[in-house]
Amino acid sequence: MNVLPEVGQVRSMVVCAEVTRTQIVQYAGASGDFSPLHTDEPAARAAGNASIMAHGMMTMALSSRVVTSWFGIESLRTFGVRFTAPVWPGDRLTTTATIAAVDIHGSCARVQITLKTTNDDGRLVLHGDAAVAIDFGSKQK
Amino acid sequence: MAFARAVGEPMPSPERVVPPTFTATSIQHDPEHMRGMCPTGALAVAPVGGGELLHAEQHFEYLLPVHLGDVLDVTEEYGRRWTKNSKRGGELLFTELVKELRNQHGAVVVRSRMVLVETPPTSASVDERPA
Repeated sequence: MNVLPEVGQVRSMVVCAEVTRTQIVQYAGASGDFSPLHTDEPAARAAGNASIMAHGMMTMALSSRVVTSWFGIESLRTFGVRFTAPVWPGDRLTTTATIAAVDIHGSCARVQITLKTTNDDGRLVLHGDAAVAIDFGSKQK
Repeated sequence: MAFARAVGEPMPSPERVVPPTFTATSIQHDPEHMRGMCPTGALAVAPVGGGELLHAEQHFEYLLPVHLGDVLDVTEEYGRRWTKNSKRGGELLFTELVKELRNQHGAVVVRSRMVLVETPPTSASVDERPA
């Protein structure tokens, strides 16, 4: 993927059609994070939550796919997010990536991307940014 | 493979760079983690004030690609700590955990910064809770 994006260009993707308890437990097993907030419904309720919630890192992993499917994993230089609201079972997650800046140095471009992930109520659950490096070299001319 | 299944990534292969957040699962390689149901590392940090410990932020810097078969060595240290007043009263305590991952050639491949937040007991609403 060596085509340079334009500032303001947007890509949006449903990164998870429906978060399920099974997927949260699956992520717990994959990540090693078995916190009761993610794996033990009675404990999560006792702590004042409606149910177990997804791991922030699961939402981050899902959200990353917008950037990696656009530019490739190997192009990624930085990726940082804030988790702004819990993700619950039943949530459908949509991530929107917007090109914030394209800085060209010789045959390389550094592209800054802002990311937002929302649930179906339009509530922001994650926001952040990523930077990718694109070497457009010989393919540009 | 379990990670790929959980987050919908393609199955890992030696040619493919690992997914961007995969290295955050390095705790899986600690033989003591979850032995007797006891977590280690950042997951072992218990809130001291009776609130919840939540993940507020996560940042990665990628210096070199990581492939299947690489052997990574992780060093971690606590960074800054700061407090902020919660909208619902009480104090939010933020703690930073900084990690550096080196590959089998000694080169730094990933740096990461995790921000954990401890909420005051029962005062924070779901509305302001991160994941």
